[in-house]
Amino acid sequence: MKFYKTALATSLLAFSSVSYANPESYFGLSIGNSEFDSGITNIHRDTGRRR
Amino acid sequence: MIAVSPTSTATLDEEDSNFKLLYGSQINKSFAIEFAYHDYGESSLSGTTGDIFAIDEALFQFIQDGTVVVSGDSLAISGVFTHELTPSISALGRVGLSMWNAELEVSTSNASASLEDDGTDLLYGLGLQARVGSNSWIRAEYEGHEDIELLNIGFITYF
Repeated sequence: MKFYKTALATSLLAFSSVSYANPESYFGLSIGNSEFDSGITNIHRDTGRRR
Repeated sequence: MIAVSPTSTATLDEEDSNFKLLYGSQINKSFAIEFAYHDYGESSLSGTTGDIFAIDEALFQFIQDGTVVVSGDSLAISGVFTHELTPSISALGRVGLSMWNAELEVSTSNASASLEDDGTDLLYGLGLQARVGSNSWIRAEYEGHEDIELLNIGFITYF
């Protein structure tokens, strides 16, 4: 996790520098469907056993 | 991210709409760096008294009718690689990092509670984009984030 945060901070710094130096930029918007992966397990109401 | 698992009698809704705002910087013809904000939407679990559900392997039981809602958003940075298929259509792929935040809210008719979780994880994506003007493209893209899959359509415009 610490590696990822360091990498993210470094990437943001690099991105800021590149964006400042590079005049060809774009912005955008997207919309769509999101699906959460909750790892569904059904549990018996009486016993608590997964089935 | 927080995982919610239902009993056979509870109702789990794992699909929602999402949106993304992005800003990109084109490094060369085939590579750009993008910074984006994602709103993932929410997943919900509704149960009645006696229903059992699991959150990250811990079991809970509804002692009265209630709802559990998980929502999330993130800030992400990614490298976007494009490959021109025709002058007006390109394939794209991305890999990056997502700094996400998730909130879990439990509510019943007379009580509520919440907890938050956050983290930083890899993201990836594949898609196609089509030119719709001298400076604009339409994109259709699949993105995989931690425990969430996104299928989006959108546009970008250069300035």
